[in-house]
This record gives sequence, structure tokens and C-alpha cells, in this order.
Amino acid sequence: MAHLERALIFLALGAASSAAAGPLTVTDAWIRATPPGARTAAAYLTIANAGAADRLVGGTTSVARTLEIHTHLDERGLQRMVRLAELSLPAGETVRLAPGGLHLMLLDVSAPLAAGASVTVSLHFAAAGTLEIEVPVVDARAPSPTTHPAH
Amino acid sequence: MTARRLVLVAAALTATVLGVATWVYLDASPNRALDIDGYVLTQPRALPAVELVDEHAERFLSADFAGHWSFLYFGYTYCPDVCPLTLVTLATLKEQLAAEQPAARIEYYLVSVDPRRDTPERLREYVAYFDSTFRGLSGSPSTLAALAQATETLFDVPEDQEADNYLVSHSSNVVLLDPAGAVHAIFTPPHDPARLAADFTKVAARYAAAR
Repeated sequence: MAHLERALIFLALGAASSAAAGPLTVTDAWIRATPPGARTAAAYLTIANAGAADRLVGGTTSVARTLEIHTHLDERGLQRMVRLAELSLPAGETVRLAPGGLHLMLLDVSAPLAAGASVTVSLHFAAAGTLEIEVPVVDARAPSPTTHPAH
Repeated sequence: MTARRLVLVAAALTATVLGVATWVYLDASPNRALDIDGYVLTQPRALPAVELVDEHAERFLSADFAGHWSFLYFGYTYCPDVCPLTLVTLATLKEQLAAEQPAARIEYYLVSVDPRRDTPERLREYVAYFDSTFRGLSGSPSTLAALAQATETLFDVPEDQEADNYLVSHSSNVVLLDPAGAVHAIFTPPHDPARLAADFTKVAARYAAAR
């Protein structure tokens, strides 16, 4: 699945877009297109920190009332989704938010997010300040067998 | 300790005891266990007789699982990350198995552990988004607890539901019911559709050979 999603992201981004705030560079950002009626959505991205340690402390977007940093903790097989107050970005390291782990959770999404659309997200960093990024909405479903013959 | 907590703890204890018992049994058994991403129950376990509600708001009984293989995933539609990820995996699995074993009768179900928000209508549009043949089931909290216990599934719906944004915790296993409607195997995450297809083929072949 990771391969499929990566392929889709690559297609969606075309010439890979990135955004930078000080020493931080954000790449591979995407939002999972939502099923009809969905009130939540998940966004994923990669943050490379070329400078001193920083922290992602939150964010906002116009398409959802709230944006939170979430992760999954595996407690004896129970996937507990928990909100993080902040996400550490150690000096010189790259942090990946990816399906099945760390993600940005959009709560109270006002309308379904359709593939091909793009969403403006503001990320708030403790040191680097606010970074505004355009995040493509990607349909990460299995491709239809009629359009994508099996390999 | 609340009743819900007790159910969770009881389910966890049962799962642990069964897991250890299975491990001890398999380790001592001359019949090698099938090597799958998860485990095959040494003895298929019948589901309790419960009444669920399907995505058309129709009654769905445990007995309705009989006559075909069933893949069950327990989750909820407000879940933005692991549930879509798993349903996409199941949709890919379905396509692969349909191509490899067109004669096999297999159904795919999302069992919502969050009946308060997941109405049949909500479930219908949600599962159909992933595959038009996917089914959606839910039921009362006590029904879901009984089903969860039999399928070694854990879930925890917060009681404090003043807002509509509460988070539900749940195990991310995929449960396989055999054509007798009994719990036959449990697949553990992370799930890969090709691996699930290969594992299912092994399990189904042994099931057919034993009959």
C-alpha cells in the first residue's frame, strides 16, 4: 500500500513541491481524499530540519475547524489514537508523517475533500514560525482493475 | 471500574489466555501451524448468536455469516487514518482474490464499534466508497462486545461523548470467518494485500482438504 500511495503522491505533486521556513523543509504533503459524509481527514508530510531543534506546535486550515497532531500507540494490539501537544523536530533529522502512524488530523471537515483539490494548511513551529503550504488531496484507493491492469 | 472497562479487560485477558494456549498447543503439536501473518485458531470458534444491523438498516444475524468466507474489520467511519488504510488494503485483496479464485465466495465487512455516530446510512456510503460490494455492520454496545470477544478484537469507545469528536481505540486485526461462520484466523497488522491473499489461499486450501 505504501508503494501505491507513494506513486499516487508522486503523480499528484508532479515536480515535487516543497516549502521552507528557515531550516525546515516540508515535502511530500498530501491529504487523503474523504469518503462522502466524512467529518475527519488525515494529512501527511515530511519535515526535514537542517538547523537546530524545533517543534511543530499546531496548525490551521480553512477546510476544517481543528487541526491536531495525532499518532497511534499500540497497546497490546489496541490501536490507540492519541493527540500530541507538539511534535519534536530534532536538529538535522527528518520526521515523516505517514499512513498508520503520525498524521495531522483534520476535525469537523466542512465538505468532502475530493482528489485533485488542494488545501491551504498553516503549520506553526515553535522557532521557525508559521509556514503556509498547499496540500494536494489524493485518492489513495486501490486503482480500478479496468483502468489499471494487474501486474 | 465501569462495565465497559470490564469488557475490555475481560476481552484482553481472554485474548491473552487464548493466545498463550494457542502458542503452547501449536508448539507441542506435530501438525505444523500454517505460516501466516497472524494465526489460525486451533479450533474454529463459533460466534455468539447476536443480532446486528447492516448498512440497509436490516437485521443481520451471526448465522448470516455462514455459506461464504468473511473478512471482518472492526473500526469506525470517523477514523481518518488506519481505517481507510485497511479498507483500501481489503479492496485490493478483494480484486486479487476475485482474479485468482473467481469461484470462491468471499464477503468483506466493516463492523463499526461506534454505533452512536455510524448510522446504517453513514456506513453504507462509507463502505461503498472503498468497494461497491463491501458491507457495513454495527449493533448495540453489548452485541459488539460479545462479537469482539469471540473475534479477539479490542475496542474502547469513550463514555464522555459530549462532543462529536471523540476518538475510538480499536485493534487493527482482520478477522477471517470460515464458511461455517466460525472464527478461523486472525491477521495482524500491518496488512499487505498480497500477503493476505496468499495466507487466505493457504487457509482455504487446508479447510477444503479437511472436509
